[in-house]
Amino acid sequence: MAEKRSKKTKGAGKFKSDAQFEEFLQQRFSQLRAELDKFDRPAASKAEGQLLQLPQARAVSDSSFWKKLDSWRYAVAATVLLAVAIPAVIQLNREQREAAVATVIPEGKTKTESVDEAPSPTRSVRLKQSEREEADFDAPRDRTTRELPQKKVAKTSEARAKDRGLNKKEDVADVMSTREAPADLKAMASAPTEAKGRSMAGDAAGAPAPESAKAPAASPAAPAPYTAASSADEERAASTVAKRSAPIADAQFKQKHEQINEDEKAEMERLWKEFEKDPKSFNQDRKRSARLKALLARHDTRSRAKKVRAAERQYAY
Amino acid sequence: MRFFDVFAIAFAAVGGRSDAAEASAVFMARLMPYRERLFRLALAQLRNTSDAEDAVQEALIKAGRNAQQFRSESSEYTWVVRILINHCHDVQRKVSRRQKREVSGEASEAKGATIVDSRANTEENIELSELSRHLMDAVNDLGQNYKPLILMRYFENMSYEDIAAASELNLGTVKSRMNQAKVLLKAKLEKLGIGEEYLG
Repeated sequence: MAEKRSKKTKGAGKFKSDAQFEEFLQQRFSQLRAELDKFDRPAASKAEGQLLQLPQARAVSDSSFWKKLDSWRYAVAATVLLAVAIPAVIQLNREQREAAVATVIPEGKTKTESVDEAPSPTRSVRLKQSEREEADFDAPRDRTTRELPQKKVAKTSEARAKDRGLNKKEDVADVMSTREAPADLKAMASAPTEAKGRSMAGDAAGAPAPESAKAPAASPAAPAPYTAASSADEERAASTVAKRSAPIADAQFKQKHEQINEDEKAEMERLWKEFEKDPKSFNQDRKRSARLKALLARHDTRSRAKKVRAAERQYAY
Repeated sequence: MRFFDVFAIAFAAVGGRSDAAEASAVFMARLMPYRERLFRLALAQLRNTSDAEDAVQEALIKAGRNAQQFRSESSEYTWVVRILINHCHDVQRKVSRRQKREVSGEASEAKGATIVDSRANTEENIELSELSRHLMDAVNDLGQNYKPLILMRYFENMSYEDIAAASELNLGTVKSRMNQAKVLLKAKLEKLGIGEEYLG
């Protein structure tokens, strides 16, 4: 017994052979599996998790709709559509805005012209020309600033026509007669008659009539003072009308702008002459040369600007 | 490159991805019946039900994602078993690292509070018999080269050929590693006083 016990204690914690160890492992692992079988998965009794169920459901389900919806294709298509559609809409809006701006001017024109419907041909042509000239003159170089004054001009002329009750279809001559002519036009209109009166009086007195007075009197078939005027007078009248149709503030601005332009050009010419005389000394005066450069740039005289720059480089060192 | 070329390439890429997603979904669907077995394997290693469940989910997702890498040399199940064993090994490594940090007190010094292992003393931890616990502890200590082989061979009752295919190793390598694994395991168990007397 003692021998047996000692043998057992000697062999305790040891495996005699690999086969024995193999057998031990088989037994222990099968027992372990049996032990683990008692434990259920926590999710086994509950609804299946979304993560695993979704792909499975999608793979199994025959619904092509969900398959299609699942794909990224639609997301990309939507993104591309947005990328194309947004600029297209922006472009469309811009075009519409431009078209609207373009239609404002003709509208204004037609409305002002509707006042002058069925006029005598020469006068209507002159009026249209003056209107066109006015529109051209009004148009500044900047696009955004161009749009606003044109709208304004069209609207104001229309409003003025309404105010004066000129939106009826009348003859230009009637229209002009009903219009309250300004003082200069009135004076111009009354000038021939006065001259005529004077000439007649002169004839009666036996004195020679002045030639200037004779000329207007030579057109006897004048129905109204305006039509009786010479072509030069007509032109003047038309330009006066055109000027009158422009808002006062704009006209003032234009005048001022013109004046400034002229002044600047004169200054530019003066400085240019000075520069041509003695480029070296001119370049030494930084202020003057800078001013000349600015003026040249403003009035778009590139060849001169080039020369100035060349001189600057030459005399810089 | 024109606009429509870009469009076509994008659609082709998207179409390709969607096909891959569909293939992975199908692959995962085929693995669903093995979930119980996989859970048991994970539970043997991690001894925590929720961790085991998470591990199974992760393994299935990994398998699904890499479905196109599956070469059909082994069965789908053995392939997932290998993925699951490796994933469980990673989880254990993370847990042991965290526990070590807690012991050394690094974490408590840094944060001013003791981080308690969420797995400790929770109802989800399972109680195995003492012998099974020692056995699994010894298996878990074997390391990345030997542990999967032992588990595949004795827990999953896989043949050497299946193990070789799943592990992407030669049959000879598997056999030699298995011998080494058994020697190591035997030594560990004997160190714990577990011998032939435990044979039933």
